[in-house]
Amino acid sequence: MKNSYIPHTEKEIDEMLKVIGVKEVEDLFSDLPENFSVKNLRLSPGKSEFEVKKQISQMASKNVNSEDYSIYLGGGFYKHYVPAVISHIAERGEFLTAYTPYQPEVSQGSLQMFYEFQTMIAELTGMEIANASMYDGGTAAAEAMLMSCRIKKKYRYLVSENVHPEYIEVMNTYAKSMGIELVVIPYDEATGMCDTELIKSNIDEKTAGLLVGYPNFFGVVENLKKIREATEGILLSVSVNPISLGVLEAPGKFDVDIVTGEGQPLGGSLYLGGMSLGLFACKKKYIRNMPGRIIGETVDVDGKRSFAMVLQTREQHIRRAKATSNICSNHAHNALVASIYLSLIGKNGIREIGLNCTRKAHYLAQKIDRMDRYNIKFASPFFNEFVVETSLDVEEVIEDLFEQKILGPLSLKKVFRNEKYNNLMMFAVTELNSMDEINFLATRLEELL
Amino acid sequence: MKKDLKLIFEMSSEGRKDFYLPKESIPEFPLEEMFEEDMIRKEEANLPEVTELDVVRHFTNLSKLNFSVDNGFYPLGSCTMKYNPRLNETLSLLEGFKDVHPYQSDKNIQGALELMYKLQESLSEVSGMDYVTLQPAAGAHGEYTGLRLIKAYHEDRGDFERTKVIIPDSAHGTNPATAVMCGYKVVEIPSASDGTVDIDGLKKEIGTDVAAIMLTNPNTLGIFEKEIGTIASIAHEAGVLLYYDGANMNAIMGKIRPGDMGFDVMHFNLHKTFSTPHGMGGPGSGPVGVKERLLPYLPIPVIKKEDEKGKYSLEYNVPKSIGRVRTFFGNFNVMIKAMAYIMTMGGDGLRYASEMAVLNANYIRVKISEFLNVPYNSICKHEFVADSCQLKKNGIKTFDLAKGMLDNGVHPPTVYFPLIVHEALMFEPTESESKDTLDSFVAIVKGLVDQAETDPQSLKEAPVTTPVRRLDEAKATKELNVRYSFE
Repeated sequence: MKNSYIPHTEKEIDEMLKVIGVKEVEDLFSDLPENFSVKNLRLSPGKSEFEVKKQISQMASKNVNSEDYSIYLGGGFYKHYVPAVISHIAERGEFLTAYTPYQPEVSQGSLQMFYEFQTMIAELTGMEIANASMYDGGTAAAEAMLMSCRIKKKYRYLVSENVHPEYIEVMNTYAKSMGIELVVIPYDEATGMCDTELIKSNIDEKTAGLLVGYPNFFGVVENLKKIREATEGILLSVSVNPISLGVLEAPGKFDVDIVTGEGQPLGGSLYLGGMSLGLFACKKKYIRNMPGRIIGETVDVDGKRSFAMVLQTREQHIRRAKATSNICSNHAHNALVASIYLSLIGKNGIREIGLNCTRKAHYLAQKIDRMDRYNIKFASPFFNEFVVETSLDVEEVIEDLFEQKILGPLSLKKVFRNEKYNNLMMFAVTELNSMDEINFLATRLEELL
Repeated sequence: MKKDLKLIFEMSSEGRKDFYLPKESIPEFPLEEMFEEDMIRKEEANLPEVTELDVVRHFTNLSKLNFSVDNGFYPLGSCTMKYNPRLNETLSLLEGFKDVHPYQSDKNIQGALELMYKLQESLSEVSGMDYVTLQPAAGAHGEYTGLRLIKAYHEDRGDFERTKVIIPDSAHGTNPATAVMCGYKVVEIPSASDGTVDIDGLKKEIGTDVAAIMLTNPNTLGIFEKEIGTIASIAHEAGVLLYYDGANMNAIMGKIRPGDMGFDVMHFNLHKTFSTPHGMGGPGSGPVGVKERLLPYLPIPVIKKEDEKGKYSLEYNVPKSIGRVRTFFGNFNVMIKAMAYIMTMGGDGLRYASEMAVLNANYIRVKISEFLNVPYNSICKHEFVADSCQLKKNGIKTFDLAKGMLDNGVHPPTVYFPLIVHEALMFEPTESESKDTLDSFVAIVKGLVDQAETDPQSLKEAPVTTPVRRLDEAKATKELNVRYSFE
């Protein structure tokens, strides 16, 4: 019998069976209907630690690993530098192997960390409050839609077409099941920005709110002031790239109602899009309509500062069918990673990283724009990502660059699965792209002509 | 140090920094040239200004305030707090997984697709389902995906009359919450006197207006629904699909499979059954298994194996798909850990894990029932529920017992759930724990029950040894101080 991670000796099993009053382990399963029972599973036999390590490592080695390349792929997930401290702290068993803090007396580590996380996200977004995490940028956007409809008791919702297409797909899935009419508003083709006139004309008495990207999917920095002016009376939600908020004005300054976003850039690794972190912040007056866990400060019986989950009456384990969301497990451990990251880089670092990314991106964009057959698609302000239109075959460009140990740009046709985007590719730049790398990329793009 | 732990913001000193980017000569485009004036940040975010050592010390000190599986016994019912093997962590940190971008082309992520495909196949085998999607981020998200598939199935057949979902009163809270998010009305059916589904009650509610029945088997009392075959027939005859909440899967691996019992769709909790860590609440992973008739509606993309040489691809052309339920492919880092676990355990190992989980639960059930009421005291599966009503006469509630356990270095079971048992304590020891650990635990619980008789006041004051003592939760909710104030 293969029994990794299971402590029982034969003798102990016998003693335990005796206490229970049955003869053999099989007797504990005598209540299973025989006609459905199976005798074994058709899976390989268990393996030793080093066999498993070898086989799984082989799978890992079949992937192209971005550490060996310079990378310009973005589209919601970005490769930023992940400081060494993160894995050392995050892998501590006390964080990794704890459950949801239902017993606050022995969970103050998690609870205080969440409280600090909420504070950092509120500060970064300029919002009054934030929750302790959602799954990812896509579901956070969908939850913002549901929350807006709940508050307004209206079931028509707008989203600008230049929001991440996968977010819109998720919103669409959620909207359909709740009977919400989700209206996708085309963006301004010339600027890549939201079409505020079109938004305005699409607001009617049934409309609950609007979601826009900041920067939007094309990397373009929307003018939130104009969008807020165009959306009077409805709830405005903004989906952010948190790293951009080191240099871009905080959405909270524009009287935005809800801020969501993908938190992966805050110290998270790429993991094929799997290490995601849904950010969710809003005005305090909406706290009772907020989805997810919220941690608050209080005292214990001795008057000592402590932290506890608050407003649990919104949540499924208390409220069941009347909960604000069905969310139970969240992405707590990824929130820990973001908290460590933001603590390490600090007030100064977030600005420096933001500046570094955006300046390098502007440098690359300037170089590319000067070349024949490549045009910057949108003449609009952008953060660290921009769209290039080319008369070359985008797939061939990507293929050639790959041979030069460059990952990216991103083919927009691949993301949108739509011919309209055939000649468009998108470059994302972070602090990890050195000036030498960027110059090499520019030279290579020129050589392709 | 017994002092209050400072908040990281309280350790901050203006102007301190300990983070440096490489020195490069980057063109210094002024912000005003890059952005509209309105869109430039004026006020910096109040992030901490601390050193790396401050950060390491702060989070290390925080971690020490937590109870975790690594610290001690954690018999939290319905949560399956088994050991989280460290091999799995090591493998999940491999650069070939960690540093792969979701928009790399299919041919550059073959190893990742292979791992996901093999995990799908393994989960299909464990569950008796025909196909598994790994996209859902957590158990509740899996429930959502599953019910959406059911909805798509009915509607594709032109059946729009099914507006209700039947859920037993012993179900997890996520079940009704999910049904509502899918636009369904919840019909709660009371349990029979032995805690199982009341077949007559079910028959009364079933009809052409019902889309699905959500069950977990064994149920939240740890009791196996013997009549599952009958329930499945009743459901299917009325055109109703059967949903399996996989939270309690740790009881039945290699013994009986939801797919064989008649379930049409289910979710797994990789963070329960398949040993991936709970990480203070997540990330989990909630793959969904389906029977063939639900295949056309799966979320996109679907992973396909193109040929026997093992080339994998992503299929986006699924015309009847419910769409995406999240971005990209799911919590890939969690999937790596679950795959490593399944490979380490093998088919026999998974079966043995369930056997020992059930042995452990029954062992402490019998021992605890000697001094605490166990309302449904028959052979249970991986968990069971006790009721502390007998202590009420001394003014002691389950809540107090739980706090007493904290002083004894063990985590309490799940309390006040399921709702059908008033002063519920729901124990799930898992297969990871030895007889010695279980014996010490039973002795602790016995000691507390005795204490409730002899010295109830001291129990009402517990815990006294923990980093903080009982909290003023009313103050927390009344004042709603949910972020640090810098003023």
